[in-house]
Amino acid sequence: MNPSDNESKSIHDINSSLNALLSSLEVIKDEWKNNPELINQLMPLVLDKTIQLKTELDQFYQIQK
Amino acid sequence: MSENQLHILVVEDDILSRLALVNKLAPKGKIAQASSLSSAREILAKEKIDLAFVDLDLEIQLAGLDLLSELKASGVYSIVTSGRVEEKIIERAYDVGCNDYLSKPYSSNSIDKMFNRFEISNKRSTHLEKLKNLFHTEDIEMIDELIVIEESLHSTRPLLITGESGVGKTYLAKFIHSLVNEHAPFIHLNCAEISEGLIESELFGFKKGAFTGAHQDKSGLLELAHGGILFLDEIATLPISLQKKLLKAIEEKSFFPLGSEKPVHSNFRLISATCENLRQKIERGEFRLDLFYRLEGFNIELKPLRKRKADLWQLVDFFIHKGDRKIVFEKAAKEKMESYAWPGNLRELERVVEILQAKSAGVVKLSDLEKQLVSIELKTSATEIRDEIIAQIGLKAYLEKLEVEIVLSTLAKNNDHVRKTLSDLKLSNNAYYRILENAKNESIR
Repeated sequence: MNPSDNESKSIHDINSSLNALLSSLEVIKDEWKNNPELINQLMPLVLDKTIQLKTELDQFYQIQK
Repeated sequence: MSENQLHILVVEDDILSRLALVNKLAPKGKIAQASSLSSAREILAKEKIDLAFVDLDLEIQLAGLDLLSELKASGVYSIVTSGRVEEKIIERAYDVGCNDYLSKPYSSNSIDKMFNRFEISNKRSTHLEKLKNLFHTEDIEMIDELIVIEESLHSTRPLLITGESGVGKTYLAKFIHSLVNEHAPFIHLNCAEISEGLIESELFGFKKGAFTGAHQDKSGLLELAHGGILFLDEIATLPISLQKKLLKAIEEKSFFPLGSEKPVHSNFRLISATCENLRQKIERGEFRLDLFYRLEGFNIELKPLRKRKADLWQLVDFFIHKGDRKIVFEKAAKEKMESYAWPGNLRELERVVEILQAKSAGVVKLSDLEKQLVSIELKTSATEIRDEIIAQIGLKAYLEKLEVEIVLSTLAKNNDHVRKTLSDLKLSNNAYYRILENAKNESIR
């Protein structure tokens, strides 16, 4: 993988994680009263994804250095 | 599950994104979900899918690209959802068959917009098929025009239909209304059928006391068209004095009825039609250029029947089926049908078929047909008589006589409606009064 591919992959991963968080938070905002089972399913995943995003951002900063 | 329900496939390896997207799409149809290329293929093999959301990077990077070509081959509308921002990858995705590309991160509004685009595309082929059936055409140029009509259905911009008399302009305007929203108003005004003095009050309405005879308030056609379609037929005959007022009403979506100081708001879609060349009228100063630009949006030119002869028999069959009695044409009659110019276009063809169905034997002979093709008969007899008269009275006098005869007969046919007569004959006011003067002199002589 050349540096440019690394950067592209990193941007892709960050975009994907941001998307997962944004779209799931929209669902949580709309469904938290009516569908608590779904929220229970989503919340741990949101937490994991946030940690994953943090790692991806750190990797991106490393590539940028 | 209803048979008409949409079948949507979500292909996404990230469980959080997949759950969120599935939740968002759940009200729109039956959802199938896959986290890998192989599971997506299994679903495609078993189920009929209408629409697919595909992440490009699955268990293998860019594996979604392979799936896109398979979806295209199966006639599935596909929307890529990807965090990839490289132009070459977006280009590849479109090349292999995706219909839309949604960049991550996206909002739920973007999903709605993509879904609307899919619905429009889905309806498009149905509408085009309906339009082809409506016009009974396989003519390529005609189909190109029908595609413009189809595109216009998803817009609120004005529509200008041009074409000779009898090609189906009003028919088309009504059909567009039925496709767009048949419950909304459809207000039709033939500008040539109404006198110049009345047209303003018809279009804009008036308040009680606005003029002599205005005993009560009356809503104008522009107001009645609110939320629907205003169809102005023969727009070229609209008096130039009114064109500016109409332009203002179209631009501002409000206008003042006669005698009123209170504006009336009306949001209508304008469809106009004409058999005249508006650009020539603009050059002659008879039509405002700014109004012309406002009328244009989607321009549709309906071809005369003589230029779509390949559709002739399809149309004849259609008109025959409208009646109960089946008729067929003998060879010579068929040839005459095909060589005839049909100056009255579809209207004339329909009339001829109707009469033949009612009057002729089951097998239509050339003589049966020729009796109905009035213009051929007139042309033949007129040619014979013309030379004789010119030899007697000279060309100038003959032409004057001819003008008088045509104007008076058209006037009578139009129940003395001068404006309609001027429009039918494409005649200026000056020319009309000159011809009437000739008629008076002739009767004195």
